[in-house]
Amino acid sequence: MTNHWIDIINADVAMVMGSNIVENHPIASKWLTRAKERGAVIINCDPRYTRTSSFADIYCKFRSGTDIAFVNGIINYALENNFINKDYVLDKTNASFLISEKYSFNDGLFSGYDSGTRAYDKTNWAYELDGNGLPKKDLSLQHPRCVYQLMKKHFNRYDIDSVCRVTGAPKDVYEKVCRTFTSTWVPNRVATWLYAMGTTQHTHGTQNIRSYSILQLLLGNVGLAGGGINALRGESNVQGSTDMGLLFHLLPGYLASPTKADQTLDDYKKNNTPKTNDPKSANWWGNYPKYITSLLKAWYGNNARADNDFGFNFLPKRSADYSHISLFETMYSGKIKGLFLFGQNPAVGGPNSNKERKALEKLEWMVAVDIFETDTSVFWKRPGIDPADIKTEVFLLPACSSIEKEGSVSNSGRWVQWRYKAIEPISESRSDLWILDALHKSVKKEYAAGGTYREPILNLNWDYGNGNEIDFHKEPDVHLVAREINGKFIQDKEVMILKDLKSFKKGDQAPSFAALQDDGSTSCGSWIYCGSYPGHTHEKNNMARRKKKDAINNIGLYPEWSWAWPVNRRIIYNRASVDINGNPLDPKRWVVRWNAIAKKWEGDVPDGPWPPDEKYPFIMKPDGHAWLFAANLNDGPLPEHYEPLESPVDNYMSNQQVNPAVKLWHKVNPEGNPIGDSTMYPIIGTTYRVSEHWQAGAMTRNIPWLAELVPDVFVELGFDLADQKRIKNGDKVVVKTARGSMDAYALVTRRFQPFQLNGKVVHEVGIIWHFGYSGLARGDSANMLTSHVGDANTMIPEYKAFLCDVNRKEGGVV
Amino acid sequence: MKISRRGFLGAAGAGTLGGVVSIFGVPKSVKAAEIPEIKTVRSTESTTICPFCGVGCGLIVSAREGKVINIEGDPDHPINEGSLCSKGMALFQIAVNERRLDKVKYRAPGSSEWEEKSWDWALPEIAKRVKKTREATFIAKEDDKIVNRTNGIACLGGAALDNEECYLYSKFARSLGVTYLEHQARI
Amino acid sequence: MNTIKGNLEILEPFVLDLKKYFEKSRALSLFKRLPLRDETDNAAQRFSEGSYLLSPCGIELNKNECNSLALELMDILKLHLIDRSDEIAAINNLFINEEIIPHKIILNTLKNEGNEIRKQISHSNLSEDLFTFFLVYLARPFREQAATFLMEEVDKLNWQYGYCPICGHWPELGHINSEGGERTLWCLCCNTKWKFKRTQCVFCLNENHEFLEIINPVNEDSYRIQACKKCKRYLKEVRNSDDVTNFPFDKIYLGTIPLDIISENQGYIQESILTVRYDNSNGNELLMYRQKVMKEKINFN
Repeated sequence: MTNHWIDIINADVAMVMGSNIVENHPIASKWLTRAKERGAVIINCDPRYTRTSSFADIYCKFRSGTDIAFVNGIINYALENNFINKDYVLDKTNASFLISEKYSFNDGLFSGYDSGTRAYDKTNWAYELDGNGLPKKDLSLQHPRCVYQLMKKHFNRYDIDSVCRVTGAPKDVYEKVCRTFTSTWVPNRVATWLYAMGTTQHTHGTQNIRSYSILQLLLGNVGLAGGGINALRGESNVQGSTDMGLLFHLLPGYLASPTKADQTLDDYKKNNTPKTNDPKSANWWGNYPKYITSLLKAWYGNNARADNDFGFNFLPKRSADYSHISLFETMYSGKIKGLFLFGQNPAVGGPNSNKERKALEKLEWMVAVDIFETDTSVFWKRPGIDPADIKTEVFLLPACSSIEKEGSVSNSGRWVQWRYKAIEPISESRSDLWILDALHKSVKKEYAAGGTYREPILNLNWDYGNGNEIDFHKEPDVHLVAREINGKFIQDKEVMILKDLKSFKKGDQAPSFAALQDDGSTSCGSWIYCGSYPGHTHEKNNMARRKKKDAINNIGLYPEWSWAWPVNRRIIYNRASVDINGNPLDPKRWVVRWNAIAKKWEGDVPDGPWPPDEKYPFIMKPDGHAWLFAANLNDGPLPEHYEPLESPVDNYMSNQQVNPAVKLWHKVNPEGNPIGDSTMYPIIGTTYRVSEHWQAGAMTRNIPWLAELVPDVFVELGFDLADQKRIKNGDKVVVKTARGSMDAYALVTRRFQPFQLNGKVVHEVGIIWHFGYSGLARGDSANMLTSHVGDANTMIPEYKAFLCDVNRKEGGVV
Repeated sequence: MKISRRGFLGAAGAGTLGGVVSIFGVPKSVKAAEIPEIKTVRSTESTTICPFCGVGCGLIVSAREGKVINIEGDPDHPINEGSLCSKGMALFQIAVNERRLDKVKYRAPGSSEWEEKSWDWALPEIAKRVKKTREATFIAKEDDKIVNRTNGIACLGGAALDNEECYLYSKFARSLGVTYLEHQARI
Repeated sequence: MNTIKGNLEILEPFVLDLKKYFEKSRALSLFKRLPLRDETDNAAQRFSEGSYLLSPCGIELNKNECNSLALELMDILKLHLIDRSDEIAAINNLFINEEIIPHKIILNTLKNEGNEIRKQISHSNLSEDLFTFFLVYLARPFREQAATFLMEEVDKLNWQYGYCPICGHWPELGHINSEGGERTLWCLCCNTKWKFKRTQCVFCLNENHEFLEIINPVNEDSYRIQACKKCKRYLKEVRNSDDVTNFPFDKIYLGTIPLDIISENQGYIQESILTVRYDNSNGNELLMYRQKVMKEKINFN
């Protein structure tokens, strides 16, 4: 989130789209309720009428997979009616920047497209630069190639009629949504955007979010209290796990993992460190070298020195896409021999379950670490399989639950909260910390005698206070790990922080990432967490703070409750909320303000400590401005509607049916990846969650109370479709796609209403995806239906829109 | 048990015990020593954060003699203010649940059952396989360029692990040369 | 006396009379001049510094009400504390001989003037705990009325300390609402209630749960003690579904004497109004801590 949970109370309008917050983040909806009590209007847009819809003031239905058309229409509405915060847009975004003459857009494709590689040459979308290497601008926003005019032209095609035709949204409600949301263009009104997997799990998920960002920026809602772009994350620490780099393309702190093009540390720095010629741009990623060097020092200690490139080549270099779908495709081909699973259940949570489960069979060994026996860990005895056919060795290691260990977790609002151990791990279960420590020590022992390139293993800086041997009773000291993540000085050093010279001694914990160096004098496990634990004792552990006292601006920041990254800033981009003198644009709920007498900022931690107007507010971009036009994305600098891979209709907006930059796995690896069309599968299928279950169900389906509340998997369908198929509520049905079929109970409700598309009636159904073949509560997995196709930028699977058919199960028994 | 009179006005120091007890409820006939001892139990209340969704609600866990006796919402947490959803309320049944994995288990090739094993057995066995696979699949160079990776081992997980655990996982995986490193954030 | 329930039964008549005494006093106008009251902003400032609000400056009491309340309280004690009748008679004599004057001694109490009070009764052989009890309950209607007056400006403000925001005394009882788990602390001296964090020692502000112990009587586990191993103080608490506005703090305070006994047996120190020093803080670190907060405006983390 750019903002945080409590901040929702500050909104005048809250848009909940791509999320069912009342169902799946129930406690957070308390803050929506309070916003409502203060007069906020809640808008909910969803293909299905959910609990959130019934709570909202305005509910607008639309077809799964047409989010971009929906939001592009609101953008067009704002542009056409000039419901734009002009000052904000002019000062803070790249609206005035000129784009290269090579840029064009036609019939669903941007310029520079290669249909063979299904990739764009993004240089076609670059800024036009002046003699100083700075983007040319037209502050009057009239130049035909300024971003603003290009946008007007692009979004012009998304008039209300076209949008309603594509999305199936009712026109009057859609107009109301447009009017209400864009009413926040004025400086004293603000809207927040709350979204989750309904937004991201599409082949155009990234562009979905882009459309929200563009709209929010045009309205001047980013960096303000009650505003922002707010992802409602689904797991207690998915924020933290991402922050710590557990994705193929990342190292901790969102540093890029090295690629083959980075043969030396200098290559890596050059390839990743953005540059700017604009003295007013803080270009914070310009500090990349400090962060990567400090990380290498944290990982390799004294074995990372200037003379060995700080151990840079100890890190593996990637040459391809190793994301989840690719991972399972490779596993299916037999090339992945061993798999570690720490608290993940892909046999239920991954797309195309049939293929992914088959892929697991190709493994030579699997190490599953979990608190319950997951579906994945018993894939070898799943229904329909003869275990004798499966050679995989499986090690099932008992992990302890969250209350049996101590450590920190980061919520969606970037609050990093410390939690304590209430009881010892039960029986022989151990914390994941202990298990990882033991695994490293065991592997290190194996490599003691020799082996291929063992330096990265043997040289690892790894001493967490429990000795060199593995002792069941000795936990690694989590505080040592947390302090390593925070970072420290490895030698005495004097450092210039802003305008002050500060002196640090060897061993001092680093106070913030402003102190980190690129010469090897500092180490830091994850630069964005620098400042979380700036001292040597738990008293200095900022993550453990529990002071329930709000800041002087009383907007719910609670700056001394836990610690937020970065540097305890609660609302990021907050310098976009002030004018050039540092005065709040919205004084009623000001976030930061410049005290001209004391010469310092008040309120939240400012997003950049410089006095007003010294640096642009969007410091993470090389040009310091928010990008309405984003030339770095794989599928285009502006969002464009494409149909999901499996769609019941042709793309009305262009002849480009599917996102042109998406990898088509059904063509690359056809085996196990069939796709279907609407002749055999005329119904739109989507997946969703219920409050009582959680993710792939390994925890909740093993909890008696919850298993009792929702004991079976069901598919929800509307009355019209049920009548047509002679399905009654509670009947057993079969849902089928080209990939597979699953049995479920039918839940017949009014919450799915049919769509009128191109003159025909198209139905949509939804299946809850928590279920699997193991646990107390069992059932077929909705992901048996979904496919291996993912977003063009993130490769997140398109779970939210596919084609299926639903029929009564003959013969009764599910 | 001492019941002594403690001065409000006198010079008795802060360390002496007793006071108000001497006034109330003690029937005239009962002497101090006759008042029977009341049996008590002790517990500790510690705070934690819910392991389910990303709201990060606070909870208080009561533990007694090494067992969880109660879990409730933390009333002092600014986000949830003591309330919990049905999953948070069921957290007790994560702590106290006979289906919890409590022993190391192993499944041999072709077998239809788990065998119970120990950590001492499992850890070296896993390490052997890690080494075997890494040796067989490690690529130092690709097209004459250093890559130093293995594509034969994949690591998945974990969005419910603590930050410190995720950090060590990242460190561990990369030290092996693993590039197939993914988790729930991707899906 | 081995159960709280039993104790409550024994004390019922006594508690009932005290309740009537409090209720009657609420209808009276006890002050000729009320204590000074800050504007909300100043009060907020004082709150953030840990300064409690009751300042005895300029207070004037209604003498007649002082006299009648003193008489009434004496009658209640005479009636119920039969085994202390000699001592109660001794206190009574002090009034009859005008060696202590109700409005003067109440004012002394409000001002926490231990030395002054000591002077007035120095020649007598009074049992100190009983006299303390008498003074606390005599001053109570006054402090409560002052508290109600002062709270009007501050009930929305954030008080982060363990001692009473009105009169500065340590709480005698805590209430935990079983719906939602919120803890409210209660001051015997002025009947003020304020919210306080569950997982923190009221006295020394320790938040390390390894040093905080919850002790429950086995068969009456809605009653409990939160004891701090760091400062060795404890607080009696009750957990139930009552709303804090309806909860009978006075009755339960007296009825939970068994919890005080338990705490003493387990080595904890009773930091009660009936045992605290006022101006003389020799050896009382916690009182000194509270005074220090107010003088030096300590910031707690």
